[in-house]
Amino acid sequence: MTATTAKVRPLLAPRRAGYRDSGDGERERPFISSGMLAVLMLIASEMMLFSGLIGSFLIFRLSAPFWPPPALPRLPLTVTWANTFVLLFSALTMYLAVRAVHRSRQRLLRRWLIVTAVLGTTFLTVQGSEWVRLVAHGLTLKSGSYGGTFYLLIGCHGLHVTAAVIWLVAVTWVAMRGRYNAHNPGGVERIAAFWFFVCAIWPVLFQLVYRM
Amino acid sequence: MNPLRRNSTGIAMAGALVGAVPRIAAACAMCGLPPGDTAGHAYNASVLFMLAGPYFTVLAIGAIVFAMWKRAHRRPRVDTATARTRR
Repeated sequence: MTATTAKVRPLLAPRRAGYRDSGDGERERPFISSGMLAVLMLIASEMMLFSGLIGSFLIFRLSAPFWPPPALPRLPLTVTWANTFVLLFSALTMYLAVRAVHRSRQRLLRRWLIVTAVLGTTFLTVQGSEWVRLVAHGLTLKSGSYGGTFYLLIGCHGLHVTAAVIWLVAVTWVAMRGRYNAHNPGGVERIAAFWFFVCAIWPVLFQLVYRM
Repeated sequence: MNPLRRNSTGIAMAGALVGAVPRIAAACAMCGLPPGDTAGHAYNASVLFMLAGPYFTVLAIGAIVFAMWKRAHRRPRVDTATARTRR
């Protein structure tokens, strides 16, 4: 087969009979797969969820005379800065994994997926150890709006990272069997889209909850 | 009276009424907060943030979809001979 331009239906074009089959035996393929569309809808709903949570946080934060309240511990900034870099670096490794699958580089793909999963697990481990220390210092879910909003926002993000890591492990398992390549990159692209979302929302939360 | 003129007249009359009676203007949840009302300002900031949320979401998802559409038009079909799985 020679290299030809892919047949893609225009963005706003009506679905006509001529688009279904070009006549030369090549079926039209949509520019966005159903799976990716579902992931984008999931991301949109997650963005609305975080928008609501951040909105409620802003009410508590901006109306409080003292933040954090005097008797409660301050959030650890240095460790969280390092953890932020870990998560952002995992976005880079995920990008490299997507590039590898588009070039059908199986070994690179597996390597970058594993590195991304390890970085995500590291982020979760550091978050977990932070939480253990904060609980030991007296900051719990019942510590007023300060503790409540902290654990709700950061915990919700942590749940998303956990789900993304589990998903990523499953994708890596499939990638180990060589199922993904330039013709079939869908699975890697879908987890990448969700991973990028999880990484992109974290700096916003970090700035609001830890530094504001 | 054509619809445009009718609407303009209605808006002008409503504006004049609100301007003439400050108590009506104060009924707006987003307006007329005293400087020390931190709770009111916090609610305002939260409302504005959540108001922007759907627009930002649509903008971000729309930009991603548009980028994918552009990429699909630009990217040549991968030749099966050159796209063999490499180890």
